[in-house]
Amino acid sequence: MDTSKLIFILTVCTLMPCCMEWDYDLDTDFDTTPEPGSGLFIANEGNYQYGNASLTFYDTETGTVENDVFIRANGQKLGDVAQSMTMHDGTLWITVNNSHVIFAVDPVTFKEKGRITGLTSPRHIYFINDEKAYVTQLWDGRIFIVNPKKYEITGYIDTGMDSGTASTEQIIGFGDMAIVNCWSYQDKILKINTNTDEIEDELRIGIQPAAMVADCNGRLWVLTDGGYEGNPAGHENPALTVVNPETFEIERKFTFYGDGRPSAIEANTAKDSIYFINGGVYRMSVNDKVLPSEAFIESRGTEYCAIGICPFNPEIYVADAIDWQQKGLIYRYSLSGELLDSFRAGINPSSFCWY
Amino acid sequence: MLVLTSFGRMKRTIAIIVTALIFGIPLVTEASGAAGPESPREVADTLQESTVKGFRPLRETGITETRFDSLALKENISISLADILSYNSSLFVKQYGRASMSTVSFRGTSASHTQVLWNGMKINSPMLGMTDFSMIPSFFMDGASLLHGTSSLQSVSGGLGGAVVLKSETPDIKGFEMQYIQGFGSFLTADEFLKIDYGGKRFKSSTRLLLSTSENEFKYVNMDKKEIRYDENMNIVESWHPVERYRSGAWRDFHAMQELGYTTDGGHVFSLSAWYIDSYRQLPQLTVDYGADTDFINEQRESTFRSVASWKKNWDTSKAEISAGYSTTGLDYDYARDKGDGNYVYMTKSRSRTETIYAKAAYERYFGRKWLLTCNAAMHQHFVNSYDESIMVQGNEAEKVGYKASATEISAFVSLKWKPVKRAGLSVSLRENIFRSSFSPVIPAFNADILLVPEWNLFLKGSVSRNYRFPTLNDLYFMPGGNPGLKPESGFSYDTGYSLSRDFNRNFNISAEGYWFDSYIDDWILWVPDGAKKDFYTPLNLMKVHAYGIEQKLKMEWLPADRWKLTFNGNFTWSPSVNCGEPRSEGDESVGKQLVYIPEYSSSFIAGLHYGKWSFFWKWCWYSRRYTMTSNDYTISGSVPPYFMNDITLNRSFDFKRAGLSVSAAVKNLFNEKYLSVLARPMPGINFEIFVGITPKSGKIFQKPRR
Repeated sequence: MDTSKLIFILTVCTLMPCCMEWDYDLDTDFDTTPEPGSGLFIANEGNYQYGNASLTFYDTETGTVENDVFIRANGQKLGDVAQSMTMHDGTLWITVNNSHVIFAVDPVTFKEKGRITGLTSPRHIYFINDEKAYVTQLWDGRIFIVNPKKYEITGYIDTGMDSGTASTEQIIGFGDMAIVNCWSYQDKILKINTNTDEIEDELRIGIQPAAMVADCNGRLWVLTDGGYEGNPAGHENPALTVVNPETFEIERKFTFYGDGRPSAIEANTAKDSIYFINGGVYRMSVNDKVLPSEAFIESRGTEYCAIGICPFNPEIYVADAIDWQQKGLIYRYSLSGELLDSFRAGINPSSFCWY
Repeated sequence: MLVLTSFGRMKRTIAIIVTALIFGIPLVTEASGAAGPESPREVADTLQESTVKGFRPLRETGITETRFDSLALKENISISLADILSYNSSLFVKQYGRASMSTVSFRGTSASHTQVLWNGMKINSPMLGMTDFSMIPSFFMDGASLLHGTSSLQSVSGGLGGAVVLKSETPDIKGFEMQYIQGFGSFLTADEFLKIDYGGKRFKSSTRLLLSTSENEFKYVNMDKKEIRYDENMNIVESWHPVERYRSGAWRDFHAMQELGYTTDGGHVFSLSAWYIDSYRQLPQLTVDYGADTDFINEQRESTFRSVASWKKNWDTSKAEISAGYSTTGLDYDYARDKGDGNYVYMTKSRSRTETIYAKAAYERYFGRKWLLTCNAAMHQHFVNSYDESIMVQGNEAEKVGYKASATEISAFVSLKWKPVKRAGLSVSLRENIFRSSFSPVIPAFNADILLVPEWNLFLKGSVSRNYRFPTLNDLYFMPGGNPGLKPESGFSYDTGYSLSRDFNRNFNISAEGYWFDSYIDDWILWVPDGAKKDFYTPLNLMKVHAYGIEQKLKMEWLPADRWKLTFNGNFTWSPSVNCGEPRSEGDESVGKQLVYIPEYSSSFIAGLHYGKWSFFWKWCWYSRRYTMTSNDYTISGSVPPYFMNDITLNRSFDFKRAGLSVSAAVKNLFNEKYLSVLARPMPGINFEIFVGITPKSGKIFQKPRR
């Protein structure tokens, strides 16, 4: 064989490009600087196992939207399944469930201030004070006690639930009491003494208490999703149950009928109205005797998945996941239900946090 | 299509090819004529051996098929069929990591639209509908072919993208043969393969064993997260992307396969194939997981046994085959995290047991030399028991979350092929499917081809068909979320293209194929969250998809000088696969966009340089950007960047008096690419493997084979 031909062929082959394109064009400059009183953070849950959770900032005054602020500010991804957010003492705490981490973030610079790791499957963080917070878990029957200043786990509250079906979810405080709803495969809420970190009482409220909110009368509204057919914990119609946190007794119960799976309960700023999603967005007074029969905001093929009532302006923010695999749409409505505008957030916008 | 099967037979093969190219079509013509010299039986046999003779048998009228030669399948013992398909075909192989789940899709469809047959039996999971190609060692397969698009209907239904047809069989030898290969590679990877074959006058046997293990702890720079360091006041003073170990990625796969064959004096051929898999695989953490690598369990254990028994008989103008099979898979998946005290919290303890009973009868008959009637009926009876042991309320065993289900799947097929003139063939096929108690509409398929230029063996081909894929048992019954009301996915497809082959001066030959394909799939099934809480997903008939594009294949072989040979096998695919349904809501930006995780462009080639007993291969593949969002956003989490991959292999064989010896060295990811196949799943950088194989040739036990 002609050796020169062979060398030519091999040379051409070797020079073929082989580099993977790895540019994301991350824009690290922000068009807005968050100021207290006009900031809205949106945790975009992303898709399970995709690691594509993200954080969006929206300025309620200027309407400026900044997406992917966490990765743009920190050069690292937010993680897998951004579950919830809490603002405490000027720090935004983001619980990233399947990354097993809680990030503390500066709400002005979006930069990470610290992180709590070593968590089993964190869902929500609830602050008792600056040096003590509770972290609820899925599957793990323990509520973790953490020191937010030192970003460390300091103890546990054992709920006694079996692993695998254990679930503690949201926490709402009433004085020295913290009330926890036990959601997945459970049917109760717990009352915890935040001084002793002991469970003082529990109340069976219905199958799968998914979300809670407090009203202006000092009552707790608990939404049970009723599980699903075949659920070993049972299956029943979803319900809204009003609980007196002092006596820890059920005062009223509103049962849902039909095919809906209600979720995402929220109260307005005055806490005299309750909003929830059940296909569309529904609104009822805390004094109503029956569930509303018509949606306050109709579903238009939308997949509403989160709701937030703005504390700064009389506005309602509703997140539409669309098909759960594209940037969700945030609709901004007036309190009368008039659509004001909308903007894009990230994949699966799941929770709002005001700054 | 020309398929060249081995270097050792090159000269003979080339002679056959040249003869076939020059005389092949006239031979067919003669064979097709009443006065031809060959008996009908010879015609039937000749047609079965068509791939090396350069003309298209009636059975393959209008069929788009890619066949893999044994050289590709037997390259080295460590590679799976997923690796073979990555470099040798136009298919998209989605890999979750090294020796992790690998799925394959044709022509812009999904993995569950690829049907996989092994010795005639479907091996797609009845629960998931897809096949993990990383669990199929290529060394265990003696034949593999791809039936693209509508052509898959000739073998199986439900292949909206196509079908992968695998075959293992007893070798055509006399006496004993043995082969033992041992390999070692990076990341503490070890492979061992043993094959013992026997061929007697009537009885044949082939035994294959493969053990593959690896710690698989490669290092990579994790660009998805950062490590941080605090000062004494808990302020972050430093952060960096950590160099991490690939955590929890070890595996241990054991495969055993036994083939038995017996041929009677009357020409009855009985065969039995049995394949056992015992696999233990850890599943790695995501790159965005901040949990410690020592505090969790994430692993999958699979035990699978498959067997197929068959009887075949060829007569002068017809042949018949009856086969029956059984398959069972036990698949356990555990995901748990340490509570910090050595006790684990199990989040998932998935246990599934599937069983499939299979039976098939097939008959084929030539009427004269221009007509061929093919009919067959296949039945698969599936049983599934799937549950999650971690979800037991108050430890109540009877309250496990899961489902038990069974389903009968029957498919009947009849096809009539006709060669009205010497150069043209037509085929009309009908298939009817029954799944549980549902009947699919009759599925018609029409295939045609015409020989345009005999000198170039240039055919124009075309086919059109409908197709249906029934939901899987998970789609229907998975707990929670299964949707018994799902409709089957339905497709309408056509393709048209050419194939050619030519030999120049006995030292250069070329073959090429190219197709335009176009298909519409309605009621595409997608799993979506059921309600805003997203606690579980449910499947819905959500999308209408338009998948179309071009496939192009090119094969060349050049013998530039004595003992030198250059080979090239390249593929290119352009496959837009677009959501063409209605927007779900006013904000839906997915309409008109490429489906997630399906590249619009892909390409691959294998180039070989051979000198005497030396062989050098360069394998290359490229996938364009794969979007992970239906809106095709160009963001860090909205897409997986395109990548090129390069592997090289150097082989040397030695021929000693009492044994043949082969030594092989491979470099994978030659340029140490940092790349992803799936979001948050790292892939290894450059890594190495060496293999040594021995094939005894003589002795008291191992007699020199007489082929």
